[in-house]
Amino acid sequence: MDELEQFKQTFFEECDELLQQLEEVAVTLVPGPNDPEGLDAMFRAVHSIKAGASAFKFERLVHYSHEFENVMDRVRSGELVLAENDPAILVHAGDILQDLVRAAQSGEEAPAGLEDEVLNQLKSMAGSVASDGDESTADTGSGAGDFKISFTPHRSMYESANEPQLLFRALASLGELKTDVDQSKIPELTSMDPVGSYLTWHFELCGAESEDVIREVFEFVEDDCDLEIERIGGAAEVESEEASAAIQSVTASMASGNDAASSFTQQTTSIRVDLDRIDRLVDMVGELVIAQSMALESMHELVDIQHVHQLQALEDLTMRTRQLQEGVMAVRMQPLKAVFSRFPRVVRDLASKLGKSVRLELEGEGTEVDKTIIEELSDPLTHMIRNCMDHGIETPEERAEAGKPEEAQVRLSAEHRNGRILIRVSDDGRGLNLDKVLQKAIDNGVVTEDAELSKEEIEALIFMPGFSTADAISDVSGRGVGMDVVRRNIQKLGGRVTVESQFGKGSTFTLALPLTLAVLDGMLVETAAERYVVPLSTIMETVCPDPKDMRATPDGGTVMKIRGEVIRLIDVCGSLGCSRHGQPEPLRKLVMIVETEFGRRIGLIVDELLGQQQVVIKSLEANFKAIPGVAGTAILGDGRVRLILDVDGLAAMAPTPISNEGFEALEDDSATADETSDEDDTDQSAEQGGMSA
Amino acid sequence: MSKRVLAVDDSKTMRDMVSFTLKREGFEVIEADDGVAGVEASANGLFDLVISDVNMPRMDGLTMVSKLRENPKFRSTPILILTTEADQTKKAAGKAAGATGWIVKPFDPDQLIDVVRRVCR
Repeated sequence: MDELEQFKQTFFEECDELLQQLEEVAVTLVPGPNDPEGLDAMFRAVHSIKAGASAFKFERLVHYSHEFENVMDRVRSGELVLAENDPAILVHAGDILQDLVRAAQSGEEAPAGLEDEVLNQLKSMAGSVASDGDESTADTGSGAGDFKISFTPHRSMYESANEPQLLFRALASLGELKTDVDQSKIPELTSMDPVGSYLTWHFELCGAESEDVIREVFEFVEDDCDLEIERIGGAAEVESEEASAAIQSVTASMASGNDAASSFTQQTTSIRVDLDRIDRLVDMVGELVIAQSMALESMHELVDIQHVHQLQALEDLTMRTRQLQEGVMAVRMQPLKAVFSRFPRVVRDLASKLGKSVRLELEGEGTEVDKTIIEELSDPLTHMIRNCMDHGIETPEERAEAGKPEEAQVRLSAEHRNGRILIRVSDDGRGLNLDKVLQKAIDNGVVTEDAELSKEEIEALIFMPGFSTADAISDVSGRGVGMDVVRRNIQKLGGRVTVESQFGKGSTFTLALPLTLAVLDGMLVETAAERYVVPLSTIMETVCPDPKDMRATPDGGTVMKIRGEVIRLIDVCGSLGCSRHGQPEPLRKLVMIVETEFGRRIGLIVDELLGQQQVVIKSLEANFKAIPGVAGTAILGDGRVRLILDVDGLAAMAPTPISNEGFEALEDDSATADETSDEDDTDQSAEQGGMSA
Repeated sequence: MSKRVLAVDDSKTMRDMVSFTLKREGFEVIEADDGVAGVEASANGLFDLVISDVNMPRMDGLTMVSKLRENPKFRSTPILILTTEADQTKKAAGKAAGATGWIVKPFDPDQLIDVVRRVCR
C-alpha cells in the first residue's frame, strides 16, 4: 500500500496547484459573462480534482466536486450566465472544495454538513437552467431504444491496431445484441489480399441508451469504416447527415494534421524536482566556484608568457563557472506570482469587512526570486497589505470628502534592480501624518522631545517596536506589533524596508531584497591582519571620523557623534577576542556604520576596506559551534576561511546607547590626546574625510 | 499472465494516474518519461498496450508512435495517445501517426478503463 500513499502524495500536491489556479480565477469572476479561458481553467481544476479523488475513492470529495463541475461546465459553455450573487457562491464553493481536499489529505472526516449549504446553492444555480439542460439532452441523446447498425471496416482500421471483436464486446455491453456477418464479398482464395478487409457486420441492438453511446464505441474508427446506425422506428436520416458532416470535418482536419504535429514540440514542459536535490546542487556549485577562484588566484602568480594558454583556459573556466552558478541559482527561482496571487482574495475579503472600496493592481508578478525568499515573503506582505487597507485607506465617505474617487487603489508591484528585487506596496490613501507619528514616538519614549528629525527619519519611526498611530485597535491589523515585525522579517532575509509618504495623498512601502539567500553580498574588511566579511545589506556608510567627534565612555567603550546622532563604536578585533599580536595600529581608523535588525546603528572599527565580494555562506554552528558576533563563514578565493560578522550579535555586546547630553558630558578626547598619548582607540591624528560604501 | 502496458508521459502525476488505475485492474505497467525513453523501453520485450502523451521533451508522442509502428513487434499493438482537450486536429494527427485511439485529459479512472477495454483484449 506504500505505492498508493505515494500516488496520493502526488495527487494532493497537484490539488494545491489546482486549488490555487481555481481561486485565482474565482476571485476575478463578475456577474454576467467572464473570460472563457479562466472559466475553462476553473472547470479543468475541479474536474482534475474529481478525477483524482475518484481514483482514491474519496467519495465525499467526488460527490461534491461532481456538482461543482456540473455548474462550471454550464458556466463555461455559456449555458449559465452568472447572476449577482453567483461569483461569491463560486468563491465559497472553492473554499469548501479546499476544505474537503484537506480533510481527505489528513484522513479525518470533514465536519458533517460542511458542504451542504454550498451544494444546495450550486444545485439551484444548475437548476435555474434546468429547462435548457433538458432540451439539450433531447437534442443530442435521441433517447433509449432499438438500433440497427451496419459496420464495414476498411483495411486502415486494422493498420491502427483496432480490433473489431473488442468493439463488438463493447456494443454487447450496451444492450441486447444480435449479430449477423455478411461474407459475400470474400473473394476466391487465389485473388484474396491477405491484409484486405472483406466483411460487413449487421447488428440489432435492443435497449441501448442513445445513439451517442453507440457512436462512442466506434469513436476511434469512424473514418476507417462504413458505419450506419438507424433507429428502428424512424428518425434516423438527420443523425446520419450529422455524422457524415462530422466525418468530413475530421478528414479536413487530418489534412492539416502535420501542422498541428509540428507545433506540439514548441510547447514548454516542466518537471518536479525535490528541493533537497537542488540545494545539494547549489551547494556543490558553490564549492566549485571556490575551487575555481582558488585555482585562479594560485595561477596568477605564474603570469608569464609560458603560461598564457593555461591562463586563458582558466579565464574561460571562470566564465563558465559563473554561468553555471547563475544557471543553478535560476532553478531555485520562482515567479512572485506564487505570493502575489493570494492578495486579490485578501483585499477583496478585507474590503468587504472594513466597508471600504478598494481596487488592487498587481504588476511584475513574473519577477523571479529565490524560492526560500518567496516562502518568507508571504507573512510580511500580507501584514503590509492589511496595514495599508486598515490604516492607509479611508472609508468611501472620507474619500469623497477629500475629493478622491470612492474606490481606493492599492498597487503591489515588483521589479529587478541592481541585482536586488524591489517590491512596492503603494496606496492612494491618507498617507502618514508626520506630526501624529512624531508625537506618538515622543509619548512612547522612542525619541526625545527636542530631537530634530528629518521627514525620512520620522517616517522610519513607524518601524519601531510597539509603534502604532491607529486610534483604535482593530482585529484586521496591528496592535502596534506590526511594522517592526515586518522589518525584522525582511532584514532576516538580508533586505530592507522603507516608506515614503505624502500626507493626504498616500504611502509607498518599498522592500529591497536579495535575489537569493545562498550567496551573500559582502564587504571584505581587514583589522589586525585578519579579514572578515560584513553583509553589505547592513552597511549604511563608512566614514573616517574626526577624533573631535569621538569620546571614550566611563564603561571603557567609545562613542562617536555623526550628524547629531551618537553611536556606539565597536572594535571588531577586540570584540572577537583577538589581539593585535604586535601588528601596528593603522594610521587612521575607519568606522563602518551598520544598522541592526532593530534599526539601531553602531559603528564597527576596522583597519581597511578590501572590496565587495559575493560569498557562499557556510554555517559555523553546523561545522564547529556558534560564536557570538559571527553569523557564519565563507571560503574566499585564497582558500582561507573567513568569518562573516553578525551585526546584531556585535551590537548586543555594546552597552546601551548614549544620549546627546550624555555625549557632551564626556571629556573631549582630542583635547587631551596631544598631552597624554594614551592607548585609546581614538588617539590618532586622522585625516578628515568620509567615504560611503 | 498479466498484460504489460508501456506508459509514456513526462508528467509524473499523469504516469502515476495511468499506472495506478491500470495496476488496480491487474495490468503490469512500465513507465517512460519521454518519447526517446519510450522507444528505448519498447526494445525490451513485448507490450499489450502503449499509452503515450503527445507533448514531451526530446521526442514527442506522435513521432514515437510512428517509430513504434515501424517496428513489426508493434504493428498490431494498440497505442493510445493522451490529448489535452477534445481537439479534432490532434486526434486526427494521432491517427495519422498510427495511434489506435485517444484519451482526452483529464480523465476519470473509469473512462480510462473504458477506453482501454475498447482497444485491448
